[in-house]
Amino acid sequence: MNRRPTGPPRLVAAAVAVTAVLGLAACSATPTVSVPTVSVPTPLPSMSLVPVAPVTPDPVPTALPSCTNSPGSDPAASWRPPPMPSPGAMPSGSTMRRIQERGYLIAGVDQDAYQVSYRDLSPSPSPSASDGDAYQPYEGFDVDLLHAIAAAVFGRKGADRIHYVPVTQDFRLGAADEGIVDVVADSATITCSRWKQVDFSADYLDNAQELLVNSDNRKVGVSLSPDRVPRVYGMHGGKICTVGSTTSITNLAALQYTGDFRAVQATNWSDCIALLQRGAVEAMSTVNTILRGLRAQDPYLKVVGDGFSYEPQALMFPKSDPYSAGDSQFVGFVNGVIAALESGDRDGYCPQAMTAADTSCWGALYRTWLGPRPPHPPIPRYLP
Amino acid sequence: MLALGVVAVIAPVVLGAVVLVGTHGTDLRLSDAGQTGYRLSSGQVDDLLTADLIRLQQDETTLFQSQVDYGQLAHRDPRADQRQIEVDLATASGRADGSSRERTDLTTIADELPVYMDLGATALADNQQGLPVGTAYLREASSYLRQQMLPKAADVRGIEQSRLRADIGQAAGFPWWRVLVFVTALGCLLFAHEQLARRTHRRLNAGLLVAGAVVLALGAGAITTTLLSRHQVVTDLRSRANSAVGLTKVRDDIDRVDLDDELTASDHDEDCQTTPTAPFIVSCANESDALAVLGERGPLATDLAEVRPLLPAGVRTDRERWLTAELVLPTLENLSKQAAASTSKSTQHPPRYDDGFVNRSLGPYTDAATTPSTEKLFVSLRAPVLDASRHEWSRYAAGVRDARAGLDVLAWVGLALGLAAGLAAGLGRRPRVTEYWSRGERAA
Repeated sequence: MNRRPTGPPRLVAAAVAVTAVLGLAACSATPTVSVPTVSVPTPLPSMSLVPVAPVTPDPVPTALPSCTNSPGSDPAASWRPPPMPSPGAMPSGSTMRRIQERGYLIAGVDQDAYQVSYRDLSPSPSPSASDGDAYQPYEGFDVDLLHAIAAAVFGRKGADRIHYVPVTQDFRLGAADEGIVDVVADSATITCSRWKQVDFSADYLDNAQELLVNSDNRKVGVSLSPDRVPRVYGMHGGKICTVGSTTSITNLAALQYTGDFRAVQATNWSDCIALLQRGAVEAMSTVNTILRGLRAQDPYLKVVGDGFSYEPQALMFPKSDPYSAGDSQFVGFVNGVIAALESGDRDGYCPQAMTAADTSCWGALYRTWLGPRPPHPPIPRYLP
Repeated sequence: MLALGVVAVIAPVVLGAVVLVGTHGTDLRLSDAGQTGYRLSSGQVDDLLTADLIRLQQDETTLFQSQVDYGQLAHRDPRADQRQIEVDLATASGRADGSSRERTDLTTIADELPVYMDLGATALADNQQGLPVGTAYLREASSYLRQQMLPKAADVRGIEQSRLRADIGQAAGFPWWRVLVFVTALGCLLFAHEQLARRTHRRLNAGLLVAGAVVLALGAGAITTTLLSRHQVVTDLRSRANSAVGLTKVRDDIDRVDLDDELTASDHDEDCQTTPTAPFIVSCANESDALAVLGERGPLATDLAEVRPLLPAGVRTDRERWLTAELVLPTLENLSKQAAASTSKSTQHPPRYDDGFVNRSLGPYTDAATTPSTEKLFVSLRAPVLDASRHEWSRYAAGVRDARAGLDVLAWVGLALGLAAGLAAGLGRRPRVTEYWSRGERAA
């Protein structure tokens, strides 16, 4: 009788025991799920580098150079004010008459140049149902000029008859050029090249370009050489933000050549300040009136250095719009309004309350929006 | 002979096991497809994550607007939206079968959410103080959500959609193994029957005949049921799933345009750039995107065309009406285009702001009732799409039920029949084997 061969019982028992142990270990092991490592991008407004202009910066002028595009050789000279008509009695056939008949002034304004021309974002009051113009969404130094113009056309009670068209820095020139608006009040600097597309009022505010940095930044500044050539120092390759289609970007592009920084262009001033607050740029730069308004939005910012440009500001008007024939008459009219604001007349209309310390309505506007110590207003220059 | 007997017994049992495993597997895949479809349908986590992110942006924007332009628009507290999104993320992350890419997406969204909320809070705080910089933060928050977070949520949904297609594809597979094993089992029984008949001179073997009949019935029934289920999957489930996914794309397009419009109204065209020379054409990112999506060749028109039979005829008209409404909104972009077009025609004077088309200022919006808005068009276009989407998913779920009908019963019945056939074959083989061996020994 044959017997089936059998394996060593101990070996079989050992194999069973090992299998059991391994099985228990597998069952009791806690499954782990690894947490993936991820990188979270930092949100920033978009910005683009400004090409470096291969030129050394010019000395800062104290007056604009002669220009052939302007009506006179002096680009800061505008049309002389005519004898001012009474409010509500504009000369027939004039742009002012057309505005009067329309019932409101159409103005292009900036909406984020705080304290200069900005959309008033305070919690809005309920507008009066009977007076849709009671709610004024825009405020600022430039906007008060528009109130003065409207008052000159419609009378004091019509000072608020303004329809606002928010224009970006890019579009303000186009809005005036294409005649979409009657006037643009947007801290526009008088330049020779812009005279090709628009007419300018007389200079109503002299400005200079400066730098805005974080309050704990002690390295960055702008200095003027003895011959007034500006130089930015302390940047060490950092970025300075500004907005396109402005004289600010032109000035910075020239300074890049000698300064150790790169200029970047954002869409608007709010984007620049957001970039500065988030540390994406070391500074931002534009005219000092706008910088002061931006600084007022954040107490941890400060303006540094010398002003490194000459920026006379004026209102812009359509130039070649056939619908605005006689616009030079309107420009002269507005120059008369500006002159009245800069005079010491206390009986005329002033958008802001004048104090005893204010020598002119212009000074009251400056004190309200731009600073407690108004300088002398610029002396207007007119065509001969 | 013994081996032949063993094969004749085992083959039917194997067939039963294959039917069990195969049918059960099909049922599982259909069940997975049903679960995935349930997750993708309106109101479930993967779809809800995208919807909740969009809602968060809408509430932030509405709150921002209601602080300034006109009072008290209806909105939810964005913090409530944030909590809901965190719940969505936790639920989605808790799924054990999530892929590594899906987990990475969900983790990234979870890390980006506080960054977004910080931007929104800064925007609202600045806005509350009347500071224009708040608008920049609102714009940045919107860009962050749309460029970083929403694409990842869409990717999570896309992974689920791919999983759905894979489940459906597998459920629609032809039952090759079952056919092969069925034919093999039947062949084994026939061969065994012939061999036994030749050796024992008994033409009919009752056990093997019974086993053969059972195998025939089992195989034919299993294959027929599987093919019917497959037909249901191929003709119905796949098209329902594709339609539902297509409707999701339409909904995404509509939500995208709505976000564009809300941001345009909130930031008052601060995102615009202009060509540097005359004619000065303004291009605003949000408006341009809205027009591109709504245009005749835009993604919304394309996606609507794919699901046109599922939607009322008025939907196409609503898209065109929305596009027309966009072109007459009092925005800088539209204004500049009109101005440039008129300026080029010397006989016409430029469209001054008191002329026909743009006879309203871009602000203030003091009355929600009179504010130019595309909200009604958004609602009229979105509602039928949502209804159609819910309808398609419910029909999909019904299709899954139909496809699964009887599969679980078939699985176990198949195993039982296989075992019974194997037993019958064994019983049929035993007397003949005994007889065979006894003849063999006598011959020896």
